[in-house]
Amino acid sequence: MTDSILVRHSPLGFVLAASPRTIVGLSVFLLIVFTAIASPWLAPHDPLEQDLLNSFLPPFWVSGADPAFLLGTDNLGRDVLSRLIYGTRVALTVALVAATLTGILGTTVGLLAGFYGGWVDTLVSRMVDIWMAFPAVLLSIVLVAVIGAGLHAVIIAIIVIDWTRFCRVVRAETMVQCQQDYVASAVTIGLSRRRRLFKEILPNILPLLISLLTLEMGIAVVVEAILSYVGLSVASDAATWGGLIQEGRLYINQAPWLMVFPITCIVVAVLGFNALGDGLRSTLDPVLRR
Amino acid sequence: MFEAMTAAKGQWILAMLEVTDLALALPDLSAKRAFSKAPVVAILNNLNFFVKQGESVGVVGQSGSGKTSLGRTLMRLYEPTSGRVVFDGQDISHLREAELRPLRRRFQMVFQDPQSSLNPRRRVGHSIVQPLIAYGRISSWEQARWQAQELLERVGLEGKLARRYPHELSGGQRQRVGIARAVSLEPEFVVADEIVSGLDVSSQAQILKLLRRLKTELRLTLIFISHDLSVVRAVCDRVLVMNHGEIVESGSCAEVFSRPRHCYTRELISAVPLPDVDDRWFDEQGSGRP
Amino acid sequence: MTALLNIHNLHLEIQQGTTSLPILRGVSLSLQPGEVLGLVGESSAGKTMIGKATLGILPSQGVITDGEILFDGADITHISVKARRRLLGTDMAMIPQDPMTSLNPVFRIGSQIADVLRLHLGLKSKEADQRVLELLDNVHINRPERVVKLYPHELSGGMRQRILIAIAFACRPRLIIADEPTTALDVTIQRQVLRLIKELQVASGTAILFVTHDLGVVAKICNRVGVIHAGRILELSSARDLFEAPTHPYTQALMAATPRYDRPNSALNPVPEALVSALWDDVRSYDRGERSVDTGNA
Repeated sequence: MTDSILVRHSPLGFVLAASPRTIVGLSVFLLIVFTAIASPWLAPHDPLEQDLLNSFLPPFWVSGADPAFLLGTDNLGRDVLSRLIYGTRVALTVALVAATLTGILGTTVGLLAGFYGGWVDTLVSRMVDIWMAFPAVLLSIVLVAVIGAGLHAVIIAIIVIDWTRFCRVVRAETMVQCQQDYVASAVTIGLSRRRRLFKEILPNILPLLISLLTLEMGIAVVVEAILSYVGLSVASDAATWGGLIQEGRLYINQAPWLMVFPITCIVVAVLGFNALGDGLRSTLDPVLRR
Repeated sequence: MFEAMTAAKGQWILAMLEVTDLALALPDLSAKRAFSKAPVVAILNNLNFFVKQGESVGVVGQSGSGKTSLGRTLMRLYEPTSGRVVFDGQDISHLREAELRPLRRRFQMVFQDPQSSLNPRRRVGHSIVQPLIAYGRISSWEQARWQAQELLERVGLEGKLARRYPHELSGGQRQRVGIARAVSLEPEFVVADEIVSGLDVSSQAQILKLLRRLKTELRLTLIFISHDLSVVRAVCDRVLVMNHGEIVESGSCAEVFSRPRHCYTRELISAVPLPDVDDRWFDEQGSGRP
Repeated sequence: MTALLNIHNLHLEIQQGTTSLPILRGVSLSLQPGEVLGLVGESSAGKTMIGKATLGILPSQGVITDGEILFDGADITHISVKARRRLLGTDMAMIPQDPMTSLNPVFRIGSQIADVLRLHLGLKSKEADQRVLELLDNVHINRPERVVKLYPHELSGGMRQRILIAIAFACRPRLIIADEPTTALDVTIQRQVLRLIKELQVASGTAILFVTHDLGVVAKICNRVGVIHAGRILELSSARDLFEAPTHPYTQALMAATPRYDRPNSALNPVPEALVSALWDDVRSYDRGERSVDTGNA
C-alpha cells in the first residue's frame, strides 16, 4: 500500500529479478507444497497399508528390490516413498503454522518493547530472560504431557519456546531504527506513535522478519522430527518424517535406507526454506536490490 | 543579546521565536552504572535569544557545543528541562504531542543526514508528500503523484526521481528532497541542521542558492545550524556562537565575524582556513583576524 | 634535482563486470623531495585514487590501464606485493582520513605503534617502547606514558589523528600521502593538527601529497597545488599563483562557489553544469549565454 501511491508493482517484475538462490528455494518450497496437496495422487501406495510379506525391501537400485516399492519398505511392509510423500503434509503444516504464529507473537512483543521502551521494555526483557532459561526440550515434554500428544501440541510447543527468538531480534532492530532521523522526521510531521511504529518502522523491520520466518520454518520441521523421535508428536503409525526416523533407528543395520531418506527430506526442506528466505530478502528489499 | 530590542526601544517586535532561560539535561547512558539511574548531563544551559519573523539566524559551534540539541529542542523532539520556548506567542515548552500536532505544520526541520532522515525503504516521491498526507491535504493518488512532481521541481530536481529510493540519489539530491519535504506544508519557521555538511563545494553552493530562493519565496524564518562559519555567513543575517551548551556571543554576521568580542569566537574564527595563502597562519594563537 | 614522485599520464578505471568507469584520464604530476603538494578537488574519488595507486592499495576493481608511477626513478606501477611491502612504512606512508576506523579498536595505542616499529625498523621490544614514547612526544601528546595504555575509543578524534600522524612519521618515510587527514575534525583541532603536520614535515624533510577537498586547508599548508576534476589535473602551480590568479575556468568557478566568512556575498553561484559536462566530454569550449568559455581542454 505504501509504495502503490506512486508506482504500480508488477508481479512479473519480482520473478524476473530473482537470483538463483531464490529460484532454488522457491522450487523446493513449491515442490513440498505440491507434494503435500497432491499426496493422495502422487503416492503409489497407502502409507498405512501393511504388507508383511514384503517387509524390508531395499530401494530400487539395490538387488532384490521390487519396482512397485521404489524406495523400499519398512519392517511392516509399508511403502517408504508413500510415507515420505504423506510426511510432507505434516512437515509443511508445522512449518507454516508454527513459524507464522511464533512470528506474530514474537514480533508484536518485540516491536512494542523496542518502540515504547521504559517499563514495557524492562518487563518484556526480564520475561524473555526467564523464559529462555528453561530448557526447551523439558518444557516441550511437559507441555505435551499436559496438552496431550499430537500435531497441535507440537505447534504450541514451538510457539511457546521460540517466540523469544523473534522477540529479542525484533526488539534490537526496532531500537536501532528508532534512532534514525527518519523517525524524528516523522515526529516533526506530527505522526502519532502508532503510525510511526507501523508505517515507518515496520517496513524497515520486514527484511529481517523474512529471514527469521524462513529460518523458523526450518527449525519447526526439525523440532517436529525431534518430538516425533521421542514419540510426542502425532500417532505413531501416521507418516511423519520424524516418526520414520524413529522407526528406522531400530533397523539401522538391516535397512539403513529407512533412516537415510527421511533425514534427506528434512535437510532438503530446511536448506530450501533458508535459500528462499535469503532470496526473498534480496528481491524484496529495495536497499539490497542494487 | 537583546541589541535588537534596545535598538528598537518602544516598538513592538514580531518575535517568531523567543527562548528564555532554556536548559536541557539528558541522561548519559554510557556512564550508567548497574542498579542506579544514569547520571544526567547538562547539554544546554541558560539560553536566551529571540528570532524575528523573516530573519535567518545561524547557530555555530563545534562538536559538543549543543547546537544540534538546541535545534531538536526547538522542534520539541526533546522536552526542555527548564526554561521556555515560545513560538509565535505560544509556549510550546511542555505541550503534549496531541496539542503540538496542529502547530507542527508551521515549524519544520531539515535534518543533517538525508541518508537516514528519509525512510530508506520508501520511494522518494512518497516521502516527499508524506507531510501533506499526514495533514489531510491529499485526497487521491493522482493528486499525490502530481504534488510529488511539483515539489521535486520546486527544488530543482526532475519529476521522474520520485520513483527512486533514497540510496539511488546523490547526497545533494537527497538533501534537496529533505528540503522539499520540509517546505511542502509551507511552514513559517524552518530549522536546518547541518544540511550542507558532507556535501561537495558545488552541491553545497546549489543548496545554499536554493535555500536563499525559498527563504524569499516563502518568507521563511530560518535557524541555520552549522559548524562552518563561512556557510553561515553566506545564508544568515545574525549568528549565535555556542560553546559547551551556552551562547557565548551573538550579533549580526558582519559584526561578529569582523569584530568578535568573546575570546572563544576569536579562537574559532582564526582557526578557519580561508583560501588565501598566508605563511603566518600557524603563528597566530587565537588572536583574532589576521 | 630529480623528482621524488613522478606520475606520468596515469589512466585508471573501476571495472565491474562488463562496465568500466574511468576515474583518472591522464593524470601527470611530479613531487620534489621535501615539498608539500596539494591535490584539491571534489569527492569524485579521483584524488584519493591517485594516492592509493601510488601506495598500491587500490580496491580490487581499480585497474591502471595506462601510464606509470615512478618513485625515485623506479617504476612502481605494477611491482610485486613483496617489493611493495618493502617500500610501505619505510619509504612511503599514509595518514588516513578516518581516525575512528583506522586504528584497531581492540589493541592499546602503545602496542599498535610499537608493532609498526618492530616490523619496519626491527627494533626490540624495549627499544620500541622507548621510541613510542618519543614519537608521542613529537606529536605533542601530554603524558604519553598514560596514553600508550589506552584504547582508541578512549581518545578524542584529535588525539587519534595525532597518533596516526605519529605512526606515519615513525619510520621517517620520504613520502607521505595524507588523505583528507583533517576532514573529520573540529576546526580548532584541525588547525592544531595541520600545524603539527607542517612542523614534522619541515623537521624531517618528508614530501607530502596532501589530498583534500578544502581549498582553505590547501592554501595554508601546501607549496604547490593541483586542481583535479573529471579525471584530469586542470591546473598545477604554486599555491600563491593559484589563489591569487587562477587561470582555469573550473578553478575560478570553484573559488567563486566557496563561501567565506569575511565576505557578505560569497558562494552566490554554483559551478555551472555546462562547464562540468564540458570537462567530462572534453569539449573545447562551452556556451555560457552571451559568450563561450574556453574550458582549457587541449
